[in-house]
Amino acid sequence: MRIRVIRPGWQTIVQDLGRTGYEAWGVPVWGALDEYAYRWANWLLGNAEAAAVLEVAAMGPELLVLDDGVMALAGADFSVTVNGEAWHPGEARGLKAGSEIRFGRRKKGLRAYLAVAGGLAVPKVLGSRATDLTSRVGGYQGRPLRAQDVVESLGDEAPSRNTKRLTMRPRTVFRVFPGARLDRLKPGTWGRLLSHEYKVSPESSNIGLRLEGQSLVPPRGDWPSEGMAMGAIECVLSGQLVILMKARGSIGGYPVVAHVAQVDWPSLAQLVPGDRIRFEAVTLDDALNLLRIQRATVGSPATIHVVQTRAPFSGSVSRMDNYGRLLPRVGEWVESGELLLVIEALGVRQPLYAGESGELVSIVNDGAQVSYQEVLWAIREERDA
Amino acid sequence: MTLSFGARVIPAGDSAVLLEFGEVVSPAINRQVHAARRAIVTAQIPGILAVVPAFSTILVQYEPCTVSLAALVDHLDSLMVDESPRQGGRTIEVPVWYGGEAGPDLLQVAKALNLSPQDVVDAHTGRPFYIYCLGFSPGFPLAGMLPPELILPRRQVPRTQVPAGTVAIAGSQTGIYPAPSPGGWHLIGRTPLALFDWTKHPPCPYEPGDRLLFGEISEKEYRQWANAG
Repeated sequence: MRIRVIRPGWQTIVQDLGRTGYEAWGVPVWGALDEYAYRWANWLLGNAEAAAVLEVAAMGPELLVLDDGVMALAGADFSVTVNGEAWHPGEARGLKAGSEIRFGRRKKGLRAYLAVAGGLAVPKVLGSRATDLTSRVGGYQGRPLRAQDVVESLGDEAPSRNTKRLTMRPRTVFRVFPGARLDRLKPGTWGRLLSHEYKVSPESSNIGLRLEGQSLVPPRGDWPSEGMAMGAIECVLSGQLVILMKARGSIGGYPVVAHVAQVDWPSLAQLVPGDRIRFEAVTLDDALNLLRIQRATVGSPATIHVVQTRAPFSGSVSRMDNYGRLLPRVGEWVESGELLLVIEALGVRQPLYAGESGELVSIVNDGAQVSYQEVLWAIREERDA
Repeated sequence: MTLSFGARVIPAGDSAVLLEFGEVVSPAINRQVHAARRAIVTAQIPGILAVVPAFSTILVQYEPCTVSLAALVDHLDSLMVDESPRQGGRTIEVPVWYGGEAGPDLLQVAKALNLSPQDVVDAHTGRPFYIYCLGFSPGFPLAGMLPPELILPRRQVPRTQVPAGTVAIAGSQTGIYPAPSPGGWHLIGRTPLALFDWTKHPPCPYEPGDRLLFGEISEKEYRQWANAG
């Protein structure tokens, strides 16, 4: 199956699981930034785990299908249509030659993944088909797709599966561990990190997410560079923070304040410049438990239930945490046990927590007056079938 | 905790640990780093995804759903690391056209160091430099230590584009940009050697523990070499 690019979008690149194994030579890994959505895209077609897909970011492309075939869509919601008909993330589609795939308005998330049967046919470079935009190698001629490029699938046929599950995990609360080099920063830095809100800067990329907001006390001293892990939050000389992503350099020299738990790496890939985020400490056991559940979710069937939670008494709603930061918003993935709001009445502050995991589909506003049994929020729960 | 081969284990999130052999840059510590790296890679411990050696540390990235932190540390602790200083490493000769358009910072560097440009070249070519690690960009060798008379802080304003093959110095280190990239080091020359080949394994003619021996060539020799290669 061949696909021609009509309009390329902002950054449409071929990605797979990344160019691993060459870190000791200084080679950045790259690879699909949202591995959760990426795995879904390939699962929908029964592809191999490392099959190459298109990663679409910020503004999607317009594509023309040249041969009959099957494709799958996962991740961010770009109001995609095929010949004018809606195509939702989580759906594989049989497509006839001549079909027009059009990405429209971006509604939620930042990155979507388009898979083809057997994966995309581009040459492997050092074992991977991932595009490395820094070195301009891999993927399709080492660059993002342009108008008139034609990409081809390795296979012709594939099962065409669907899922009702959300194929991405949009979150603005990131679970973190203390950084390997926290001791190189001023005492109190950890507490500062956990009590402020940060804004995702437009100067973010597959290499790193730059954060704006309360800076930390800049590091003093000069240390030898060392290996930098995915999700490491480094404190640069200005005291600003950068979350290192998959295209980061293999080594770096700034002290690492914190590490984002692996379970939340896919959520980093869906952040949009301007999003406000915060950090929350997590234990290793909790983080790994959540990661195992997330892994097992890809490809497992589910039934969907919208579960409403009602006010246990009348009162006024606060949607802020103790530091004045807004709690999870509509559209975000919340975890069972996560604080969603506080009801205040007669001097009593009652925190209320999510009873299930899923997408938050509605929630009352900050400052709202609610009465007994009024619906406070609704969660779209994915129950294992 | 400290492993049997002397490295301190520092968790780096839920999917990586940093093994620290010391906090200073020295070939002796760096040889321990690479001896341990060889032992880790050879042992093929299940769940290890990447081993990233640097100056005095190794970052071990692992799959926490396959191997727990405790099991990983036990594996690492049981490794037999050959700590006897490895004989030699290779010496890689690197021909360099110094100054001119190849090394646009040579004159300024000489001036800042109170040396003649030829003094700088002599000091840079007079001895081999130990490669501590590769990083910054694919195949970029971080080598040193430079003699005290060549030590300068990096440029105030980094360049947005440095040509491939450019030989540079900063602090106590010297390196080579294998591909065009931005860079904040002082550019003193250029080599016609191709230093990183994306079609080969290993992709680089040198590895950490080897030494770079720079040798001066003329612009004419550079051009002949570059055209032949």
